[in-house]
Amino acid sequence: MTLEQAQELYSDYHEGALTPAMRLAFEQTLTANEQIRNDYASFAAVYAFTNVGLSDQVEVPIGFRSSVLQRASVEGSRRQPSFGNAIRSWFFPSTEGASKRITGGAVAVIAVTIIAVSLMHNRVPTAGTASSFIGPSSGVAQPIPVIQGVSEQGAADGSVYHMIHVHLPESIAEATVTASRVTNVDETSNAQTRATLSQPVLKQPKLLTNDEQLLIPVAFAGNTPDGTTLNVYVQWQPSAPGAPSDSQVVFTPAKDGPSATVLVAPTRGSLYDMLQYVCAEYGVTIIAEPALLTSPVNAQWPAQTDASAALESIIGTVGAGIKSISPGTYLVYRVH
Amino acid sequence: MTPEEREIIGRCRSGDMGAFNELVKRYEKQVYNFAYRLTGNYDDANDISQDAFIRAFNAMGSFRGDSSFSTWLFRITTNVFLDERKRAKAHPKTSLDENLDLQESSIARQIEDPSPTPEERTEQAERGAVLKDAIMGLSEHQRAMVIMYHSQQKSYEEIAEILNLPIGTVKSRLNRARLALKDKLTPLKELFNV
Repeated sequence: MTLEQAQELYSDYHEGALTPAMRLAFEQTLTANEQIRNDYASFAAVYAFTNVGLSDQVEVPIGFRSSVLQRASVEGSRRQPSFGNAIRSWFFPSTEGASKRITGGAVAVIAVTIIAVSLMHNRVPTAGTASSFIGPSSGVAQPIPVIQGVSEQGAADGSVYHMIHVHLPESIAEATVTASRVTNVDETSNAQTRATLSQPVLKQPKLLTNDEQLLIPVAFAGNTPDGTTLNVYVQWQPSAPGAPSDSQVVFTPAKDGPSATVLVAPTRGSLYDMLQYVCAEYGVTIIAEPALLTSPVNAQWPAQTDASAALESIIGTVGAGIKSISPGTYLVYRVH
Repeated sequence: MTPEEREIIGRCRSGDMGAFNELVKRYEKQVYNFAYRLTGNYDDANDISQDAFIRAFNAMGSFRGDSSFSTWLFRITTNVFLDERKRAKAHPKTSLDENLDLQESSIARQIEDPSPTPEERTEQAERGAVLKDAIMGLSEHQRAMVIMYHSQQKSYEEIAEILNLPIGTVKSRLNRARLALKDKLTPLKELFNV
């Protein structure tokens, strides 16, 4: 058997698909011919390497399905005038307060601008994603998470980033966004302290419209101590004259998942300290209104708990509510 | 095809966007990953997979159910990819998507930990890049077959159905594609212990 003849059989042999007679002949060739033996060994290694190397699955980019459905609705509306209503009713299907506020024009908003798309590990909320209130919500306007979550994303150079997703609400057509990394509660409550001590994560203020989604990349910290969190203060100043600025703070684990070591649970401190602890201990992302973060908390952590129960145990005293906006991401908002 | 999927497709044909959403939800990951492996970058994968779903949406009326929906959708995705390549060859342009556009990344890097990436991560990334390059060096048809088999776990029978080829042809072409990969990768054997 020549090398070329043997090569024709490599896949079948590797997959056990040769007849017994062919298999015997092939194995005799392998034994007798060192060149073919080495060549087949390389083939088998590459076969295995290809299987392993192609087994990783990348995540579908945020907004993918929304974009497909929006395009499909355009296609459909060419055939059937009422198609727009059909897609609108799918996107905003229930009788939730949000659905009443969203007009037909908002369908266009769903097509988020993906500034960078890649390995999405933590799902962040998109239009149509269910969310649920955990804490008190009765009589309270639905809070809007302008920071919509944090995902992880690989860049072409192999670096991994935390990507902070920012999306303006429909009520703000355009705003200038700034963002900085904060490390203590003072930096969230005092503009001067923040200006002095916090580190900007946007090179320069970013003008954002509400039909775009801004992804703010922060390089993944590879060697931070267990339990470290990445806390980012995001502020947006609407372009409309006289409109007040607003802000949110996001706490997210600096590494994947919950802390591997048991962290010391603080019993007394600011809400900032408590949220930072819950973020690290349970590996969840928490978005909060800065005005709440200075509130003092005497924590009584429940035993055998999870992130939502831990959050519930601390928000009651500070007049806050909790909304789960996607798996592993919570919004802590003020109950007026 | 399950009765449930048949029912969803039926609803989709009659313009039920909820049903179409269900189909996209079921297959978006497979289709996107297939497109990503075919094109080697996220932006093109996004375009190819979106176009594939839209083409499927428009052609839903012609889907007879002779094959599974998955097979039909992979056939469409492959055709979208091949059409796109033909178009790209006819009208070559400079690619702008070789690097992920992280507009603010330079400042972000300065802020966060600048220490070297762990060795394992580097090696893994290097191995992935080497394999990706080798696969991108295959012809479009060979690449599609390799990805369907090794990444999407399609059987020879399914690949034959998707590509409308005899199974023997699929097997021999895949064997040739693997031999081509072996020739490309063996010189780099230190990287993956060949």
